[in-house]
Amino acid sequence: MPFKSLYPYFSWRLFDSFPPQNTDFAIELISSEGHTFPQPLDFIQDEVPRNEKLKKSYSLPYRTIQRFGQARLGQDPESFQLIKKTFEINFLSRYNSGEYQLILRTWEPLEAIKTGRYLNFNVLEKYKFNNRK
Amino acid sequence: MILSLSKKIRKFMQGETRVISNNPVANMRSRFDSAKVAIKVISCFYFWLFLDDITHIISLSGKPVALSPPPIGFWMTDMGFTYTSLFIYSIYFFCATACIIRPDSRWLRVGLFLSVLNSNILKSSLSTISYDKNGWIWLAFALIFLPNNKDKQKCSEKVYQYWYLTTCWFATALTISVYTMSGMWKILSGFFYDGFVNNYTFLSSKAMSYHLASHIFRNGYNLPAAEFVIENHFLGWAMLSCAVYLQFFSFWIPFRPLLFAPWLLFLAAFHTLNLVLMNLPFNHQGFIIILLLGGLPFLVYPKNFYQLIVTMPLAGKIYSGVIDKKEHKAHSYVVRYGFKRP
Repeated sequence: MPFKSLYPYFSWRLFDSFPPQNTDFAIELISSEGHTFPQPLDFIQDEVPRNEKLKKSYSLPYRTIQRFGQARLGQDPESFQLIKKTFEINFLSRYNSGEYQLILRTWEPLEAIKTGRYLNFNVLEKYKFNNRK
Repeated sequence: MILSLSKKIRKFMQGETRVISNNPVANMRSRFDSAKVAIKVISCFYFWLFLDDITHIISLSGKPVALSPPPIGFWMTDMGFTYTSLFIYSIYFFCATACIIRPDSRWLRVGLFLSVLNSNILKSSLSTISYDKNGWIWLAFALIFLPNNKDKQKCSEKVYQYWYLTTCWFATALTISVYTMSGMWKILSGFFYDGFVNNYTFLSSKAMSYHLASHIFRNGYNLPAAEFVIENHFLGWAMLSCAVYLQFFSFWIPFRPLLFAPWLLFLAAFHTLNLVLMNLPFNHQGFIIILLLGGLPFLVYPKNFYQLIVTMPLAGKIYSGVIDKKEHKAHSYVVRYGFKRP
């Protein structure tokens, strides 16, 4: 297709087709305040429902994580650092310090919603954060 | 030739039902008065939009902000978040306030359109393109063409009223056309494109289930109504097909005044289901639909169910041609409305 959307007259392709498998980025929390979680916690599935402010922001956390992942694979380290900082300060503000990992996952929607399992995933990188600074 | 072509297009868009005014002069006067009130309400609402946008921007002050605007907002990255916000919102504040006092100034309307557009670009550049206020951008653009005081002096009262109402009609048509664009692409994807890459489209019974499951899983929502639709593929498919019909034929509605009220209800139901099933609020878009389809004075109520059904795009053609076989006489297709002649 020549283009997906033409901003601002852009409502051309809005929910027009749905792939049987999705590939996207996700963030998993590994530890916080020196305590390591038994299983890495999926940021969207575990953290967002507990955080009233994030719950009200609709799809913003998911979109930010996608930008984070794309910036990680991109060529602009400055923009990547800015998005990483934006994510840590705005979305991990409940924690003083900890560690999280960025993953690239592939999942089948009907299976994922029932079991939470992915078809496969790769850990791209692990990051330590400290919001006390 | 152009005139005859435009007549043919209008006839095609109007369908078989004709809506005729009993007293055109009195009706135009009354419609013009109502349109003036509606434009005042719309101007006030732009100020409310300004407050809504600025609250969001202020909540981000002091935090790191990464901008990735769409191409049209290329200058924002160089200018930075703080200066861009100050620049846009001071003009926005001035134009939104002044438009309430002087809604007929064209320069203020141009300023308001540019402010709403740039405010939306700035907000979209923070995460993803925001669709909710898209209609308000196009409404602001269409209202630039309202006649101003100078135009009023240049032309007769009748021409001025006609110009005013035509611009209001154009605003409705332009704003509602975004639904048709969306519906059109769903149909094109279904028939020509995504079938070849194994994606589900509205032609597949599982499309809605996949769509809802992806949306819920991505965003971590807990929506019991959506889970019910995911389990019942056929229900989801029926809902998606109705949505495609509703969206695609939205552009026909400005030509068919009998459908303003029903379409207002259908679109309200569509947006409510979006909220219940996907947690997608379209408050601003919902309000614009109420104002344009219900608030502007083009609405004519159908007198019976038959008039409603034959006026529906495509469905009306099928009903009158195949089921009813034109048993109803021709006068059933003519709807008279408004003031009676004294």
